[in-house]
Amino acid sequence: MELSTLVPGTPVERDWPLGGADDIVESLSLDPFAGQTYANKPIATATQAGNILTRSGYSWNINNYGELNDGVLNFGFWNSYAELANSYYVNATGTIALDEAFYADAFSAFNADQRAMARAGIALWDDLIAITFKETKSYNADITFGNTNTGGAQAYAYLPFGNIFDDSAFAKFYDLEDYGRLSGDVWIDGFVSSNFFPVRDSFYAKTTIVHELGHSLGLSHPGDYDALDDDDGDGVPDPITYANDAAYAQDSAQYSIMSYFDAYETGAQHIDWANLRFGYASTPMVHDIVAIQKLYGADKTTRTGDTVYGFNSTANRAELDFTKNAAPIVAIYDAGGNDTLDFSGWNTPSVIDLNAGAFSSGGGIESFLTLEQVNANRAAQGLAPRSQATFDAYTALREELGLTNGLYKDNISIAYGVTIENAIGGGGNDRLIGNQVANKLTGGAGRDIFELRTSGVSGVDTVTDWQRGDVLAVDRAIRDNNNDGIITWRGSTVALDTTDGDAVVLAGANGAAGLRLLGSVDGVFYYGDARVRPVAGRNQQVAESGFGNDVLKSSSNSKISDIFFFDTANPVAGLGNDSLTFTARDMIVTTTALFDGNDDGIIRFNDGVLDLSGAGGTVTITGTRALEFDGMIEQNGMRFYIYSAVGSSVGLGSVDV
Amino acid sequence: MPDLPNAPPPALTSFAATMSQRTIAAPLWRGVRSVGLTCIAATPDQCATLLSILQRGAPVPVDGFDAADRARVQITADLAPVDGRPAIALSARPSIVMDDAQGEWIGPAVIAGRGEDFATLAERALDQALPWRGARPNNRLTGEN
Repeated sequence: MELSTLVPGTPVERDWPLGGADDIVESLSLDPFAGQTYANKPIATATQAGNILTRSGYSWNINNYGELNDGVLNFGFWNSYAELANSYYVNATGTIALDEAFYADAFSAFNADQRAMARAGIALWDDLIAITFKETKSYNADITFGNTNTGGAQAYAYLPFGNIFDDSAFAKFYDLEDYGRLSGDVWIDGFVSSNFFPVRDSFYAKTTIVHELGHSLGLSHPGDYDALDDDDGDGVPDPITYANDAAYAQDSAQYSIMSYFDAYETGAQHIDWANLRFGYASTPMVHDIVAIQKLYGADKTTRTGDTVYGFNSTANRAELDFTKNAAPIVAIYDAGGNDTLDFSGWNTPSVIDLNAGAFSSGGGIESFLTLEQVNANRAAQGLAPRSQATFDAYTALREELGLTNGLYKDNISIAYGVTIENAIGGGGNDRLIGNQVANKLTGGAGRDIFELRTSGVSGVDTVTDWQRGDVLAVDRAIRDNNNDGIITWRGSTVALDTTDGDAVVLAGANGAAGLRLLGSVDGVFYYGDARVRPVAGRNQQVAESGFGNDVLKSSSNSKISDIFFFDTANPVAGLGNDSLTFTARDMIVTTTALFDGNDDGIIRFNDGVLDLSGAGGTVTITGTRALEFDGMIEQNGMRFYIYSAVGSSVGLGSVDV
Repeated sequence: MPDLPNAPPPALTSFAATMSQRTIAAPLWRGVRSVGLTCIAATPDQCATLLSILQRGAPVPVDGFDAADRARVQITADLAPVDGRPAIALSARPSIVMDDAQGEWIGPAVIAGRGEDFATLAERALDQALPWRGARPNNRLTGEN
């Protein structure tokens, strides 16, 4: 779908740009499509989502006994039932107790792991907003933590409703004059094992604490989910589902830790297929950050230095350190400095999008595992093994979701208003997307795509490690003076937009050899290194396939040997449905091996159509229905596979790359 | 500890009429379409009584079997006495575990009061375990879960 042709009211289908490999699919946030629909639901702006999350109107700024007058919110832990019984949970005369105090045998104090999670959760919200949190004793605390029996709800927290009921007839009758002190208190179900183990990031115990603290500070769920809703009219309440109960499109865990709907409802992939479990957010997510900063103001002091997030992290937050949080589902907030998003620890394909509000994708597995492999992974983490029944259920789920790999998608985001300047890829074929400031992009190993958007001023970006297999992607065609598809340049920079000076430095590229236009897909123009092609020798001519349906022309001179080049390992797109005429003098060169069913070195295509491996595509060949594999040349990090007519005299020694 | 009456405190939900919140089930209970009950250290009559009470008013079918299904919770009732007194200890687990978030609910043993009959004891125990039951007043007037 052409992004530029979207009109209001048009449903937004997630038609991803064609991927050269199954692994890389560009991630898209729904937010820029606000006003349209997705899954038959309206797409909200981030501001609207923030308004929805803060719709209760409660915050610590209002009616809360002046607790925030000094800019500090206190938090503490109930250390014993006696503390609770001597608090506002019991009236002054000791004759009426609220549930948490009444059911004494349901109470337990937070253990050490829970307290660590709570402190970490407080720190995460503290990072975002211009108020400070301080740990105190329970009787001085604004927000308290304890365990009780929630009656099947995993956990709950009191919104900061404040003193609005303190003068009510109810409060007076029951002598509960400090009823508003309940504000912000967090109660975890002490009888549900998943609240106590595992306590690591991306597991449910941690996400529950961060979620409940969101309530403590004034955030609601994205929707008024009603467990009594009878959607099908059969008289029995129906389960709460995204389809029936999400009021707007972005009500999912991809956008908000306050949501109850799985991230896959909005196209993200947060399932940890290596361990057959769902992954959960470790931090407030992009819409939560909009909402909480609306209530309390953004913290302008958080990590204002040059900070690295991800691998080699200097953020001083375990959640944002991917050596500690190995299955990260996080949103990054940063208040200044020259910062980097580092995915270098992953050898799987990643997408790193430096734009504020955008989603990046990193980690996961490329091939699904056997039950034995999954259980070995789980045992290493101290997790109970999965049964065959559970394995089968996950297999059915991945088929239902249409997944071809277990890579995470849309799991790492950058908060609105945040500028991250630099990106570092890993060992896979990565896509690194620049933003509106000068970026430093390092692809790492693999054939990487560097995507730069030139609308508006984006400055002079730098690719620090351009390699021959890499691709430059721009949203506006680079000026090609002689229209030959080759872009050369002098000096260090390639001009991208001469009207505002946008340019890119490709360290490692050769300006004289230049870049070659591979084609355009969905309005994005892709340029490969022009050195990635066979070099025509004496009496040779090279014709390259691009993304479209090409007719590769043969030389009219019967003495000329044609070399038809297909960069089948390109990380961008398939090579279309091409056609050519082939003689005994000619060769076909690819960058992935063609499929040889019986491994005899002969590639047969009896219907005259050769299927290309790798990125895909087909070639209708006139003149032969079989090719002979002559050998492979590896040079400058690229592999070239040589094919000729069966029994021909040309082959490996005839090609220079 | 305050000297509190044995009866639950007054229901507060009427006060909360304008502030009612919706309860969201924990992952253990989300999407559940059936429940099974099995008993330990129970007579057939006791187990049948528990089952009958469990079935009453349940929003999903409840049976007395241990069956495998993704959308099912298995409840186990352990009727071993505690300190010589009749007791019911309930636990709930997913029939087929789909996610670590589901965990297990393992409740405290509910011990019979003096002269308390089994049916009343069973009601109290099930009130603690089941999200659709609960004689507990909902004082989460202005809370969310």
